[in-house]
Formats: sequence, structure tokens, C-alpha cells
Amino acid sequence: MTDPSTPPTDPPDPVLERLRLIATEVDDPPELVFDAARAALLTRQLDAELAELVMDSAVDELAAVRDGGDDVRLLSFEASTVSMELQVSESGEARVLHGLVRGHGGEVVVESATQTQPITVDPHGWFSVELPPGAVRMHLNDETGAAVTTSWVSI
Amino acid sequence: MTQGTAQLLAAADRGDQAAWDALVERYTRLLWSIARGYRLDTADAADAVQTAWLRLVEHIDRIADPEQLGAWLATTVRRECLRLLRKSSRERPSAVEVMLDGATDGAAPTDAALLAGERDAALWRAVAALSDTCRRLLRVLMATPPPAYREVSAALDMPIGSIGPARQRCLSQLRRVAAADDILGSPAGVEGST
Repeated sequence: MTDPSTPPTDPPDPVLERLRLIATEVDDPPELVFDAARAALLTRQLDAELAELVMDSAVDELAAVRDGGDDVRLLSFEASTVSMELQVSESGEARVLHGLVRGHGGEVVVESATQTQPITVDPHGWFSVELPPGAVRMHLNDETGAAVTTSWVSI
Repeated sequence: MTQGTAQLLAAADRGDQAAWDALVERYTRLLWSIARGYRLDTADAADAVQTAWLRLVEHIDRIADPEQLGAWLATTVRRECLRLLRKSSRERPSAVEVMLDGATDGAAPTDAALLAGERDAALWRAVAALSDTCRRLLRVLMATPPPAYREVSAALDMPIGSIGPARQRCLSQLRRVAAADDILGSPAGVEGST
């Protein structure tokens, strides 16, 4: 069984097969989960470069250790010429985002499940915005037409 | 089973909604099972699963090996689960609360009432009573369609070679609990004995 040449499954087990049936009966994903997953394709960006999430203090082990119970979450995104740092904190039911964008002089637009809104960025690249919890991403649009979009994060 | 994943990914990358829907149909129950294995409640599990699908849309043209798509999605969901778990442990630091939460979460008692068979309900409760490691592993293994071991490995951050033996051990553990409660293998008509 630990032989790597064997196929990576075991023969069906009657108890496990019974559990599989029970699970689809009592703990199937709600239809809303399927609906949202199908709709996710509509968020496809055809022309924008992706700014990858390269650090998330809420997930990355080392960052989490340093986190020490602090309620501020730090996120870093990087694209070829642009980067963004985000601090996310909670204010009651809302999320407060403090951000710093580098290498970008144009417009910043925040997109959530329900809305898309431009954000005022100061001359040094700092911005603040308050949002409801949920999935968000940032669009960085340049006058030249170049566009960068961050990875989605759930805040 | 995974034949065609490459074609589906390529078609979805061109905007083919039907191809995307097929991927959603194939993997959503696995992702849900992972989130439930980590004891996320319905809202958090939905959040974790949705984040994985959104991330796939972003990376759809850069999945190097389509055969690894399930594992890639499973890893993404696992990371979201860990984030949500850390968050809720910060918000609810009391061990008692966590235990109470564990007892009421994961859908065991309420949803079990929906089960037609008393013994199915008992079997489901028996899974919930296993060690965390076993409960989580079995919850992922019972996903529909049955996950490949590389997907289970990604979901639980376990070496592939350890899954087979762990599966055996956890199923034995389950059989012992079930045997003690007379859940398995006895003739019909013993409802109420548990």
C-alpha cells in the first residue's frame, strides 16, 4: 500500500461507501455554493495582469507566529511593476483596509461581491477604505491602459 | 475520471461556461468536504470554497498540470480553512466554547435527524465521535466523486503514502465504535437499540 507504484486509491470499503451516501444526504453543499462557484467564471480578467498574493499573515506560518494575537491582518500583492500592502482590521461588522500601493500612479478601484468603487489614493500611495466582510480584489488602472488586478481575498 | 480536465480547463479559459460548470460539479463536493472536515460552519465553509473557485479563475491559464487541478483546489481550500480557524480561535479563545462548538458544528445532531435510517444516523454520529485526525480524513474520503489520494494529500497536508494506512486505521476505529453501538452488521429491525 505504501508502494508508490500502486494506484493512489484503495478498494471500495462498504462502510465508506455508505458514508458517502449519507454525506450527500445530510451534508451536501447548499445550492448557493454551487451557484456562486458557477458565477465565479464571470470574474475572469482578460486584459489585466494578476498581482499575486505573496504574503498573508492569517495563513503563513511564520507571519502567524509573529502575529501574536494581534487582530490586524497583513497582505502583500506583487505584480511585475506594481506592489500593494494591505492591513485589514475589524470594526464591528465592517472591515477597515489601510493600503499602500507602489509603482502605480493611476486609479485604484475596489471590487467586492456587491459593488465596485474607486478609492482616493494620496500622493504617497496610501489609501483607506471601509467594506463589508466578503471577497474583495483591487484593480489598478493606469492612464496608459495598463491594468493590474490583485488576487481575490476574503476579508 | 480526470480525463478531460485539461480540455475543460482550456475551454473554461476561453469563457466556456459549460466547461466551467463541469469543473464546479466535479470538485465542489470535495472542497466542501474538506471545509467540513476542518469543522467550518456553513457560512465559513461556503466562503472557503468560493475563495478557491475565485482563485482558480485568476490562475486558470497557469495551472501547469491539469491532472493536479483537484490537488491545487484542495490546497487552496485548506489554506482558507486554516485562516478561518485561526480567526475563530482568536475570537473564541475559551476551550469550553470550542468544545461546545465542536459538538454542535459539523452538522451532526440536527442534520442527522433528517436521516431516514436510525442506523445511518448512528453511523454519522460515530464518525463525529472519532479522533480529529480520523474524522477529518474520513470526511474527505467520503466526498463525491471519491477523491484521488493526491487530492486527499493536498487537502490534509499528509504524505500520499500515509493515507492508505491511516484510512485502514480510521475505518477500524469506526468499526469498533459502530460495533459497540450495534450499528453495523446486525439484522434489520433493531431500531431504538441505540
